[in-house]
Amino acid sequence: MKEVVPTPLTPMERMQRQRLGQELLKMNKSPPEGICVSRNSDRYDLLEANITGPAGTPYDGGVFNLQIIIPEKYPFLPPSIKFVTRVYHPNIDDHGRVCLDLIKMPPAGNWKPTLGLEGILIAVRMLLEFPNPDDPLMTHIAEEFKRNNENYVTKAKSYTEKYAQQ
Amino acid sequence: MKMEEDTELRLLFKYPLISKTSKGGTLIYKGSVYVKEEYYEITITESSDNNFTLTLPEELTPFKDEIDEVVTKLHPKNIEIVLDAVSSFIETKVPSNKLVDHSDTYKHILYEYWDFTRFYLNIKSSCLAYDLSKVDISTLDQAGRQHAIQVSFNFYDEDLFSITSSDLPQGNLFKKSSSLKDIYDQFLAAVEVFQPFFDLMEVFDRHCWVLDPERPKRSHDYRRIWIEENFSVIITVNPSDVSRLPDIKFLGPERSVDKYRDALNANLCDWDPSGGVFSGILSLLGLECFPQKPAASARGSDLLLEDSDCSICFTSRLNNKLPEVVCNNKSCEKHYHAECLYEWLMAVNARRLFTEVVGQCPNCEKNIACPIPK
Repeated sequence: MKEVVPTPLTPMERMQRQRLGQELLKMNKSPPEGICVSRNSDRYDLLEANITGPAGTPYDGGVFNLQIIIPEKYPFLPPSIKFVTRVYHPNIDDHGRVCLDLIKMPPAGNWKPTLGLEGILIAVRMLLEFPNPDDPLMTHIAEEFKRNNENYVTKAKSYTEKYAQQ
Repeated sequence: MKMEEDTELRLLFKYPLISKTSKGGTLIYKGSVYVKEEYYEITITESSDNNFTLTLPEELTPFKDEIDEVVTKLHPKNIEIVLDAVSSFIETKVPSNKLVDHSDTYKHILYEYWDFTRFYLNIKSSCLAYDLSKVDISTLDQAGRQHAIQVSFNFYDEDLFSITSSDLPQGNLFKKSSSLKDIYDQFLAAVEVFQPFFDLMEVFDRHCWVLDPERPKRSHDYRRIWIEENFSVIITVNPSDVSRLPDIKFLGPERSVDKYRDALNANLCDWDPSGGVFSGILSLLGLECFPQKPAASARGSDLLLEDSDCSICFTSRLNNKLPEVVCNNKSCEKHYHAECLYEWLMAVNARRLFTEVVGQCPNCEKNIACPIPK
């Protein structure tokens, strides 16, 4: 049997991991409001996040789980973010994909390496508070949000009660 | 003919500022009417078949449709009826721009305030604003905690006083009142009711590492408490009855959440706040005590990166080199390692120029040049 020798990290790779570690450490010490990030498993690149529904929104009272995958090239590529908990929202689809320009590469998106996970997660929480129906992922929810907001609120609340409870 | 002269005279008496001219078959009345100490400039034309058309001043435009309707309904025979209708409409329906005299209300406020400050002994501080628009009042509760309210005056309401801000939870339960004493009594009663709540929150703040709210106010009914690495719990209590089972939410990795939720579910039926709500919550979670905040020196700096660190890798030394590229934009001036910035600029297809790459600063988006690392 051959012994598996891990290839030593290049300085760049070391820097990339160190930066992520630093971000996680900081967020654990002084987490932003309603946000928690943790490493899920032994895998370096797989993170788990919880976001509480902002007060005064139909998501209030829910805790939403997210999966974050850190690409090998992070921070030169944006992290991928996915809602594990089901959410009724114009910018979040049935598979939990989030439509947010900050987590797409330019020129289509606005990701920059100076942004961190913290900023991205705050933006995701903001998105729960202020949906963007003009750039929807779920067109029918966006329509409903604009034209029949009461219905939207009721449905989003019922999803929160059904899926986002611990 | 006599009749007509009478009308003309009466018109002159009643509306002396209206002048009459005729042009072809139409009569034009122009001038102003004087209602409630204000002048309104109007022009009315009367066609030969007794049709009246009104031109109104700007301040009456919002009422134009209403006035027109009133006039047409009357089927007026002469100008006097039209002018009467317009004047009475202005008098009854149009609010005056003149200042309303509030001196009685002010007297009432001053009296109430004087009476209030002499009546109570437990006022910590009270301050009536110079413009008599509000009062700030504070008191100390039995544990020596200070509580404050702001009382504003509703000049158009019989119930003159209302509490517009307070540091109490559920602060919107107060009723308006015509008496300042009544308002203060409501406030004292609320402070009394919330005593167990304030006590409990103080215990949390003293014995736990509270992550959120950063600076708890008396009105905050929740605390996010650090339990272990990456794992915290949000406890929300009912301010009016702290012995009610609090709402508990866990934030953290699934395995920790599962572990604590199982413990919580097992302990739920034993919820017993009689020995103290705080220890009740601890046994709900299966904990002996909440971990304390580490001393400040052990935590190190709260900042994610210092100004002189590279804004991409968040460290100062990469390959033992300090960041060597600085953004030229005065309001940005972020530092970067050439390696880090190069890697990013190439990722977004920046232009290569001889020994440099030119692109945009990832922070301020102004142009930035980066030497190509060897």
